[in-house]
Amino acid sequence: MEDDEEARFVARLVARDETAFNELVLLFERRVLALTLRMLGRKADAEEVTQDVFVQVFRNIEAFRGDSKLSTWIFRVAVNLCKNRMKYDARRGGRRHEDVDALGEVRELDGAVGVSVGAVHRPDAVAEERQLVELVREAIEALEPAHRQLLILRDVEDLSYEEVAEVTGLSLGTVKSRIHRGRIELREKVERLLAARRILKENA
Amino acid sequence: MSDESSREQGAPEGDEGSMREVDEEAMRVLEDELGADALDDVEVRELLRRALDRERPAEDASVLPDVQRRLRDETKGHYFADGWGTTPAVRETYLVTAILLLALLALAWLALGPRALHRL
Repeated sequence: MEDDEEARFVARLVARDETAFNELVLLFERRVLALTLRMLGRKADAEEVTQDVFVQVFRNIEAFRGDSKLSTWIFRVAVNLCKNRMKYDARRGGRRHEDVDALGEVRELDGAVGVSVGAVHRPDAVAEERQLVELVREAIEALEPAHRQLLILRDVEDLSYEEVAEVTGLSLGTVKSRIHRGRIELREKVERLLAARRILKENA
Repeated sequence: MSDESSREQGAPEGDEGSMREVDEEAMRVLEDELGADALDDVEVRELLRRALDRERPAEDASVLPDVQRRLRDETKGHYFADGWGTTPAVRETYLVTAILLLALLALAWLALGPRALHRL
């Protein structure tokens, strides 16, 4: 959306134009839902938080001053609400835990990275791929929440470092530093999990 | 969020702070020489995408009706109250209805108007 077009669109939202608001939800709901789903892990939570995002946007659209893109502002609302939900979940001690008992065969991280998802066809290769994905998800779950959030925004949602800084309200240097450390943390966790699985398998 | 930002902008303390300074300095040098993309770790990015790409919402899933219902409840029916506003193409709906009504009025006028009366 061009700047002028976006300014006109925001003016309609500020005027509480219901049609404009419907357009806004339809335009952004998939990206917001994908982000909340990746950050929270549970579909029901993600849908609820996504609804909260648009309700907040409707209530507080006057607070959007146009300093950033509308999409960045909406992402910021989404990230803040996800963080609140994660804190709430942590207080209740109820975070998602995937069933990883089904994980069996493991492989080296470096070897795994070269395998294309599209190239996997054989049943054993499909199972191996699934196990690796589950293992990586377990490692992501175990990341520090601040690192996980930044890695998702940069590496999955494909936001630039500057956009991540705007969305999270952190300084650019902090964003880069945390993403860097988050990647190291993730790599270490995946490698540690792979090693643990290998030992379990050898002892079985 | 503001707490976090202010904490991050404060002076780092102890070993962790020193390590962070070294990290940031190393990244600045790398970025200056090779550009921002040089900071990315392609392998980790690929792993993240493979693991999280499956967490996609269903194509037909839409939160719009639920959002509208919540706003309708919250504003005590001031917004999205008429049931018409719950469809995205609300303008088109109004337009089509208006045209149909005009056509109906025109038919009624032709059937019952002065000309029809004159023929009688």
